[in-house]
Amino acid sequence: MHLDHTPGNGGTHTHTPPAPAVPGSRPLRIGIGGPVGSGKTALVAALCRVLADRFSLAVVTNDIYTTEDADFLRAAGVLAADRIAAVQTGCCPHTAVRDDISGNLDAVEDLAAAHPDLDLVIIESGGDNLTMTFSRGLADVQMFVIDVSGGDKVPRKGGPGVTRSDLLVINKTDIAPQIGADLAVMDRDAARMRPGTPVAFLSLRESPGADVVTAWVLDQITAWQAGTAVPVAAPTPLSSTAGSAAG
Amino acid sequence: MGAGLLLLGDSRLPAGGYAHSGGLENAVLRGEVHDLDTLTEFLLGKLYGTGAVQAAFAAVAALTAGPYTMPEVAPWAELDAELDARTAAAPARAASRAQGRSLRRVAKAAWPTEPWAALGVSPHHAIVLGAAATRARLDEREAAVLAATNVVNGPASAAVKLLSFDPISVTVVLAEMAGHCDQVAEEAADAARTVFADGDWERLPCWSSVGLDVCAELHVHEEVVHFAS
Ligand SMILES: Nc1nc2c(ncn2[C@@H]2O[C@H](COP(=O)(O)OP(=O)(O)OP(=O)(O)O)[C@@H](O)[C@H]2O)c(=O)[nH]1
Ligand SMILES: [Mg+2]
Repeated sequence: MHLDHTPGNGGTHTHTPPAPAVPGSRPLRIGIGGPVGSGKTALVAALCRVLADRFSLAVVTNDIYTTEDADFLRAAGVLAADRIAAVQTGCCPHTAVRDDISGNLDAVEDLAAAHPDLDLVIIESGGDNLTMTFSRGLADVQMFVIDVSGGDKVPRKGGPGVTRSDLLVINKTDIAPQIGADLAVMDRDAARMRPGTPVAFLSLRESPGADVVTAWVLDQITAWQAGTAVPVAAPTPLSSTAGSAAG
Repeated sequence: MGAGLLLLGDSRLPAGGYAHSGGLENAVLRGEVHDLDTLTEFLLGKLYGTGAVQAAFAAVAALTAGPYTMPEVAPWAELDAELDARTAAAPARAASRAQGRSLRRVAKAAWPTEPWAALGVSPHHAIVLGAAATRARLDEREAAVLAATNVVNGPASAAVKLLSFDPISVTVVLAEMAGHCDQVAEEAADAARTVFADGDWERLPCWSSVGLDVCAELHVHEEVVHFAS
């Protein structure tokens, strides 16, 4: 068999790119990314504790080689075990949430099928570096969690995690004096690196309910469920933008 | 041969392949693969065993999907059952279906008018690959080439990550492997054509690699793993 003819659907350019999710039509998906040990799982646990009696929640973790995070959340008892799923990331935590999100999509779909009333799915990435972001195909909104222990220079190093996340969380402010990290410098640099987008200083030690972050998450859920969240545009297929390829 | 082969053969295709090592991780844990020679042996064993089966199923799926619009009614369930029967280890079946599910998601987005639902929610990877190949204007031999190369490329890139091999040396191994992949694909496509003519699916190749079945079974009991299979 030789396919030198044009197969049925290859010739007609009727491609419809996957439509962006209509806000409210499925559970909101929030991504939580950030370097190893910055407090992502502790934040997920705090959010679950505060939100679980008002919303139907589920969590997807992306551990690098164990199921440590999922196990921690199950042991912490913040959610029923069947609302927590762990994705294996083949040595590439950022791939699993950015370049090839299929494992995470499977997990999200399975959780939604098992819990048809879900309001929110929190997806924790494996600990990675400052370049990590979530694909918009996976997370509707995303926060990036760094902590003060790497020193006050981290926000000005930038990287897509710092500059492009919807919320930058700077955690562990309680230990800033021991580290010698100047929070005013971090605040100034963060504002410069991500003008107009929010930054939240947090100490889960002092604020176990993660009040500032919880408030932001509540805003996101409200906007999503009211249908006022702005969907991220789906890619336009090349066939309908012929001529603009040079750009 | 066209760009469709590169599209579906690209390791960056977002269909979940990066998370699987095809048994390599467990072979490394057992000390069976530790240098380039043992990697080469592993890949050859895998290619001429399960690889030949995967290639034949990709080819027969390509013939079943046909060059035009995919048929609404096709023996997908029969093919699915035949491949299940040839995949002894349950974790290997699960890995194949997980990757098939992801590939079907991609195929459905790329060729939305085709009846992908007929393949099931989590079809075997080789079967979706064969069907998707025809949408990318490939024939049954090319579908088999995709399946055969997929069987060696995934473990090879896992080996680079797990054993810190020089990626150029691993590419040399893969270059040696290419001729073997072509040969396996050629024979798989021949077998698929013969079987497709009379629908006698039982006569599709049924090689297996017992060592790989053992690796697949043991892998799910390891505490620390990097790859899903
Ligand atoms: N002092 C202090 N410690 C914190 C704070 N938040 C988290 N921790 C501690 O930091 C450590 C790491 O927290 P995790 O939540 O596991 O961090 P993570 O980002 O999920 O780590 P990985 O998943 O391994 O990347 C734990 O021991 C937490 O108790 C905080 O606000 N202050
Ligand atoms: Mg964690």
